[in-house]
Amino acid sequence: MSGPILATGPETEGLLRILLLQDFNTRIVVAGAMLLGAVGGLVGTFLMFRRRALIGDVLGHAMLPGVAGAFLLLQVLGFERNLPGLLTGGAVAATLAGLMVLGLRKITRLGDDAVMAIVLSGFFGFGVVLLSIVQTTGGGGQAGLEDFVFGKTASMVTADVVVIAIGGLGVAIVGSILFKDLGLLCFDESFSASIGRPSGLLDLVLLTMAVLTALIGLQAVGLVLVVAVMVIPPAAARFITDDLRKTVLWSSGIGATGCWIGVTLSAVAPGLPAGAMIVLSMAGLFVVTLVLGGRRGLVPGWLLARRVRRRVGRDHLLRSMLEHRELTGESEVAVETILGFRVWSAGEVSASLRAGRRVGEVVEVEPGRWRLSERGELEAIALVRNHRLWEYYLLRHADIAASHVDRAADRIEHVLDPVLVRSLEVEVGAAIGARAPESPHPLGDVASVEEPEPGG
Amino acid sequence: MLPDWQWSYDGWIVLVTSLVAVICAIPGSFLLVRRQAMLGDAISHAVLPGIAIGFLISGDRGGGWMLSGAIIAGLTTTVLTQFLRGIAGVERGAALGVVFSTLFALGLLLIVQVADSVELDPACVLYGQVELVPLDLIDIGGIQVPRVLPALIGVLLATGLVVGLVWKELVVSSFDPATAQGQGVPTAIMNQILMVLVATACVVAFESVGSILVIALLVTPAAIARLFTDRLLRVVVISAAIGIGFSMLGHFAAVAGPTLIFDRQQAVSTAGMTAVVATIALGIVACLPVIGIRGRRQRSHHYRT
Repeated sequence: MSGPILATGPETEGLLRILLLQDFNTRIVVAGAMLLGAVGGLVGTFLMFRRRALIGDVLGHAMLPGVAGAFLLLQVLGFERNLPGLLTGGAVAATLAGLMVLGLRKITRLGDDAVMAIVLSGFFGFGVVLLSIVQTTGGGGQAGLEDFVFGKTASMVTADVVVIAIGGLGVAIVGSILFKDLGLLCFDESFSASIGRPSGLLDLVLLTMAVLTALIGLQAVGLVLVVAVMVIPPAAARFITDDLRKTVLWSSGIGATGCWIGVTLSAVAPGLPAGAMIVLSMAGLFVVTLVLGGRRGLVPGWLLARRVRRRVGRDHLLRSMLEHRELTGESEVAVETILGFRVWSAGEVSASLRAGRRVGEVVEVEPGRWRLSERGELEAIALVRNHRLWEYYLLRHADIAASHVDRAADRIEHVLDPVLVRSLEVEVGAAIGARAPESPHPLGDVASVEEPEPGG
Repeated sequence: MLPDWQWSYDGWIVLVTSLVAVICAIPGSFLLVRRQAMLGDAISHAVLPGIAIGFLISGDRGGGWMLSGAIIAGLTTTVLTQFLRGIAGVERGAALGVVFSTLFALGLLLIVQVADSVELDPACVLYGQVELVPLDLIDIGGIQVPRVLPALIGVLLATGLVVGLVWKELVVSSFDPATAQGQGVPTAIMNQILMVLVATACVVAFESVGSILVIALLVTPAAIARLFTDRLLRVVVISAAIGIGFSMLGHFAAVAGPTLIFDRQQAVSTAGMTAVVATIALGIVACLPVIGIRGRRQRSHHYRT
């Protein structure tokens, strides 16, 4: 062992040994678990978009009768208990279960959810029956089979990782070759079928990939929890991106990272069940992406909403103050008067005023009385011009009544694209920059304008 | 032919399983029409941390702590799933999968912390030990009955009462939530009531027969009934009857099957055998040409409207 520099005690030393992968066995287990996470993330993404996320649960549970049946068969034939034999049994049972799901879905009018629950309970029930036979025939085999139910990552040996690597590589290769076809099947089945893609065959391929994933997850996380490897990473990746390719990459990355953290934790504290630790680590990553994810995460979503709200408030304030000056000729205006311009609360008004003062767009002349600064006036003219151009557009092209046009324009002007503004300017013959065009409707107390009927 | 059959023993098993079948048939029929059949599977896994925490608090299997813990865990599953679907836009199946696998993992972790208590075995939660029911008897009015029997009868009556009281609201909010909301039916509350019923069924069943049987009895009898009729009341009644039939057949197969097939004297798991019988029965019914044709016709009708 190369001398650890930071080691201060046996515990830190042990942790470092695990983190730096100094033991061969640790390396094997970490590599196997990370491969499993990556493959699960890949397959799970397609399953999620195919709206069959829970098929992983069915396949996982369905392996029990296969594993137990293979165990009994090997015992009857007088062979030693061996892993390839048990896994073959599991694969056969899971494939049968998957085919039964697809078949029942075709010949009955039951939904995916019902069919999956029925197949899962039947297969798992049969597994329990076989386990009860194993129990009574004795031979100490039952304890070994329990490992498959709840997982025992630490017992992985080199041969297992080789099996995982071969299976995982196969799944990854098939996934990348059929990437486009599977994506199309997931997002638009009828279009995929109409251009001659065989939906049934592609579903079978996806099922086979899921069976392989469940198979290589069997040892690490156990058949009850193998669903998590296929469900949590893609669900987490969805918070980060909408792009299918990126979802697959993120999902695989999250799966691998979650497995690595989980295996490391269970190696540090050997009392903790590895399968459960892997699932909980993935769940932790899921919560992180749920909160911070760039695409749908809670915090970015909240920040965006706040930014839009502030921008809209500031636009409303500047426009109202300019229109007030147009109407009355007074450049100073009291807060109470501003409050009457629109339907907004005193809190919103004072927040917008404060924000406007910070950027130098409005000036507080004396307490409670405000006016536009020079810069604010230029901004306000630009805003009012946009607003009125929209109003003209709506009046002429969208056939909206003059009494409703102000509100309709209000709702869409904040998404105005500059190119569109220019073409509207040309259309109504407005000079650019100098001043706002005339309002197409009488200005006044906006609050008195009736709220248009929704959808009217 | 039935060397081991004793009414004082096997009779109790069939009775207890039948009661569970009826308790499951009522909320199960609703889950089926709401396309939430996997919820039974999810909740029966997700109650594990609740059971473990209840056990940690009270230190014994009986009593209300484990029941309350499990019901809270079951409701947490549905609330978290709805949160992920609603606010975060996660697909329904994926949301359910994320929540229940995480809770089950948490439950495993908690149970390992109290590992020396052999009584609380995660495997037992899943497989069930209905064979032990007739061995755990209490005295009620001079008659020896299984300890779980009073609880099962109580839950059955409560389930029947609740569903009877809000039958119309439950039906309309299950078939057409939009219309229900328009008519002022509190669909969210109806949803939660159903979830409480499912969670309760999962918990009492875990106490007596194990999770695997709950998943089977919640969905499969209702699915068979649904292939014959569209009326929800009929689905409930037929699936309860079918469930009782499965309970008898399942236990009979578990006891007699090994003798008939392998000439073996030891019975196999009743819970597992009942689930197998149910799934085989559904497979046979689905393959009957009449049902198949009827199913196809009604499905195309469903899509047209």
